[in-house]
Amino acid sequence: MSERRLLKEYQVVKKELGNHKNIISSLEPIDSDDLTNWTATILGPPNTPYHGHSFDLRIHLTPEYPLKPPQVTFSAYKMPHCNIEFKTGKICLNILDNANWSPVWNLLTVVLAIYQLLSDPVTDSPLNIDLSNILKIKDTSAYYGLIEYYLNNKSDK
Amino acid sequence: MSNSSMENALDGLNYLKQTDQFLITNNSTLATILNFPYRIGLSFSDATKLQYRQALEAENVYPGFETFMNIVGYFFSNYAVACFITALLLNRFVMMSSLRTNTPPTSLPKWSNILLHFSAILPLVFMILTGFCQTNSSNLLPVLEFRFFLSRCFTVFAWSHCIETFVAITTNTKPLEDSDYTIFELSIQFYLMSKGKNDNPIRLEYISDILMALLGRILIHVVEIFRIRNFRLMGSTILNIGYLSYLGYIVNQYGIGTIPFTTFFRHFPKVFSIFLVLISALCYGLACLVRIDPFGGNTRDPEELQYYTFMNNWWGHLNCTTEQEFTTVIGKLALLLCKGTGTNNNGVQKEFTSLNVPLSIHHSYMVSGYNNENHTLLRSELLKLKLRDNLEPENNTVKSSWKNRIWIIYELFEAFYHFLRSPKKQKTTKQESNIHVPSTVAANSNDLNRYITCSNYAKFLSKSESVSDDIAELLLLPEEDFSADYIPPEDEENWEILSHEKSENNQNDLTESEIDEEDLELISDDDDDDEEDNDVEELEEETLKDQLINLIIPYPTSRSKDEMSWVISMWNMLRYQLKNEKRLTRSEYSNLNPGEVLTEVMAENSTLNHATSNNVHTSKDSNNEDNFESLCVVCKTNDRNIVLWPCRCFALCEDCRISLSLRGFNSCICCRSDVHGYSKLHRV
Repeated sequence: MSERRLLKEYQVVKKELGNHKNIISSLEPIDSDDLTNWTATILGPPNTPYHGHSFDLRIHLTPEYPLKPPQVTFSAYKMPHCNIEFKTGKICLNILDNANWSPVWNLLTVVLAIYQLLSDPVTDSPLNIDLSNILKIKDTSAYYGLIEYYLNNKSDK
Repeated sequence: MSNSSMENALDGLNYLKQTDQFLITNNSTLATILNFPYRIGLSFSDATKLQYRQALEAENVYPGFETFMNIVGYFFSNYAVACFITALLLNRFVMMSSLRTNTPPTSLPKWSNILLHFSAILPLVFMILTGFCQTNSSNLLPVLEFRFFLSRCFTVFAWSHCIETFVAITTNTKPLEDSDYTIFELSIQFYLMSKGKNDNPIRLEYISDILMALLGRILIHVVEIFRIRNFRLMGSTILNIGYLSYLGYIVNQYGIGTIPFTTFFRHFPKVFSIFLVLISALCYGLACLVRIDPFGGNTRDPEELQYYTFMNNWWGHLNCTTEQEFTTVIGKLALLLCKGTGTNNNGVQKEFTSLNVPLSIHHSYMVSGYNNENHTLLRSELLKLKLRDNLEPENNTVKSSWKNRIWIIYELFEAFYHFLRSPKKQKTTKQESNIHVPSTVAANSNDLNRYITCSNYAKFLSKSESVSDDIAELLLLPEEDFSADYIPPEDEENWEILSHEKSENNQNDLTESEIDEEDLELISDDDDDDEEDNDVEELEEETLKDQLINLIIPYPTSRSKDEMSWVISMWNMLRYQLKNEKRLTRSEYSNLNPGEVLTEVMAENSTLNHATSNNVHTSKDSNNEDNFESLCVVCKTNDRNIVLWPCRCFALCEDCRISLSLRGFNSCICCRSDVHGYSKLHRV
C-alpha cells in the first residue's frame, strides 16, 4: 500500500476541494489517522430531480488501492437512481470496475465521476430497473415524481 | 478334521481370534453387548497392524505408501525435532534484536565474536575431515556409522546457524542466508538418508553434498570473522563452480543415475541458469561480432542491440550485492535474461533500450504522450529525420560481390542468434515493425509525432545543447495551456467598443508593459498596418487605456510575472481577432498563425525565465510540494522513468510498471492505448 500516495491525495483534496464547491460539499477521511475510509457529500446537480438534495458517499480504499479501484457506495435507502441499487447504495459505474479503472485517477476524479453519473443516468446497465424503465420510455414527469417521492420519504426507510 | 482344517485356515487370520478378549468378564447380556463390538474393534485394529507390518516387510511396497510413511515418519523423527528447536532458537535471536532497539546498543567484544565463530568452525572442519575419512577409509579418524555421522553433521550445522545468527544480531547486522542448504531441507534429507537400507553403511554419493553444505557454512563464518562480507559471492561462486564441475565429472564418468535425487534437485536450477546465461552471453557475443565489419564500411553500432544497455550494466540491473550467494545471483540473472526477450505477451513487460535524457526535461513532457503531440516542431528537424530515414536502407544495399558473401554469413549468424533467442521472435519483430511503420508511412504528412520512436525519443525530449536557448525553445513548445480560458464578457456592446479602442492602442500598451525588446521587434513588424487608425479622439485615450488594461489584465494593481505572461500570450491572439473581426479559440489561432505562437512563447519564456526554470524538472527537488508533476502518477513517490510505446506516455516509475504488469494491465494507464513495450529513461 502506498501510504505516501494517500498522504499526497489528502493534500491534493484539501487544496482542490475549494474549486469544486458547487459539486462536492465535503470529502474527508472519517478518521484523520486512517486514510483508507473516507466520506463525501455531493450536491444534486442542477436540472435534475436531485437538485437541492445532498447525498452521502462512503469510500473504502483497499490495500491495493491505486492499482484497484476504491469501493464507493451511497448510503442505503437514500439514493434513487437507475444505476444505483436502492437497497444497498451500490454504484454501477464503469470506472469503478477493475477492468476500466486506471491508477491515474484519484479520489477527487472518482467523486466527480459519480456526480456526473447523477446527471447522466445510463439506462443500459441499470441497478434500479423501475427507474430505468421509466427513463427509457422518456416519461419525465413520472421519473421526476418517483425520485421526488423517494427523496422526500427517505426518512421512512 | 474339520476343526483342524479350520485351525489351519485361521492361522493366517489370527486377528479374528478375539474370543478371549473381554471388557466385562461375565456372561450377562450387557457383557455380550459390550464385548462383541469391542472384539470387532480389536480384530479390525489387529488387521490394520498386520497389514502395516506386512507392507513394511514386503520388498516392493507401493511407492506412494512408502513416501507417505516417510512424510509422516519425518514429523516424529529426531531431525524434525532438532530442526524445530533450532528454528525456535533462531527466531528468538532475531526477536532479541527488536527488543534491543530501545536499550543503548551493547555489542559483544571482538574476541568473543571470533571465539564464537571458531567454536562453530572447528566442529565443521572436524566433520569435513570425518567425511573425507569415510570416503578414503584412511585411518586418521575412526569411520563412523553413517547414521551417527549424519546426526553429528546436523548438530554441527544447527550449531553453526545459531552462532552465526547470534553474532550477526548482536553486531546489528543481518545474518547471511544460505538458500542452498536450509536447516529444514537438510533435516528432511538426512532423515531420508538415515531411513535408507543399512546394507551400505557409508553412502559415498551423499558425502559430497554434505561436504559442500559444511564448506558453505565455513565460508560464512570465515567471511564474518574477517568482516569481508563483500567477498562472499566470490567464495560462493568458486565453491559452487568447483562442486558443479565435480558433479559434471561424476555424471560423465558413471552416468546420471549415480547422483542422488536430492543432490540433483538442489543443483539442477543452478546448472540450468548457468546454461541460460552462457547461451545468452554467447548470442550477445555473436550479435556483437556480426556488427563489427573487419573490412571497414558497414560497421554497425552494437548499441542498436536490445540488450546492449543490459549487458553493459548487467550487474547494476541485477540489483544484487556481493554479500549474496551464487545461487540467488545466477538465478536472478538467468531470469532477467529470459524475461526481457519479449517471450511474455504482456506489452508492459517488453523492454526496449533505455534512453539517456538530460537532467532537465521540459515540463510539457511530464504529463503523457497524448498531450505531447508535437504539431509545432520545426520543419528543418522534420527534413533531417526524413533524410535519415531515406538514407539508412540505401547504406545497406550498396555492396560489392565478395562483401555480399560475407554479408550473407552475417545474416545467417544473426538469424541463428534470433532463432536461439526465443521461439516467439516473430511476434517480437512484428511488434517492433508496428512501431516503426508509421514513421515511413507518415512521410508525406508533416506530422512529427509519427517520427517519435523509441530510438529517437530522447532527442525530442531534450533540449539540444548546440543551439542557442531561443531555438531550443522553438523545438520544444509547451503543448499544454495553463492560462485561463476565454470567457466572453457579459455586455457585448461594451466589449465591441473596448476592443475597437484596443487595436488603436496596441503600440502604446506594448511599450508600457515592458516586454523584451526583441519581442517588440517581432510584433511591431506586423503592427504597421494598424497604425493608420491612430488618429481617433485623443481626449478619452487615457481613460480608455485604463479600461483596456482592466480588460486584458485581470488584476492591474499587482503586475506579477504570471500576469505578464498572460498579457503576452493573449496579446497577438486578440489582435488577430480584431483584424479578422471574428473570435478565435487558441487552437484555431495556432493553426492560422503558427509563427506568432512561436514568438509568443519565446517572449513568455524570456520574460519568465525563472518561472519556467521552476517548471523544468530537476530530479533533486522531489520534496518540493508543487512538484507532483515529475512523480510517478501511480505511487506519487518515485520519479517517472518509464516511457511506454507506442503511445509515448511518460507517467510511470519502474516499480509501478512492474506491479501493473503483474496485475495484467495491458493498456496505457493514461491514454488507454495498447502498449507494445517500454523504455527506461536514465537521467544523465
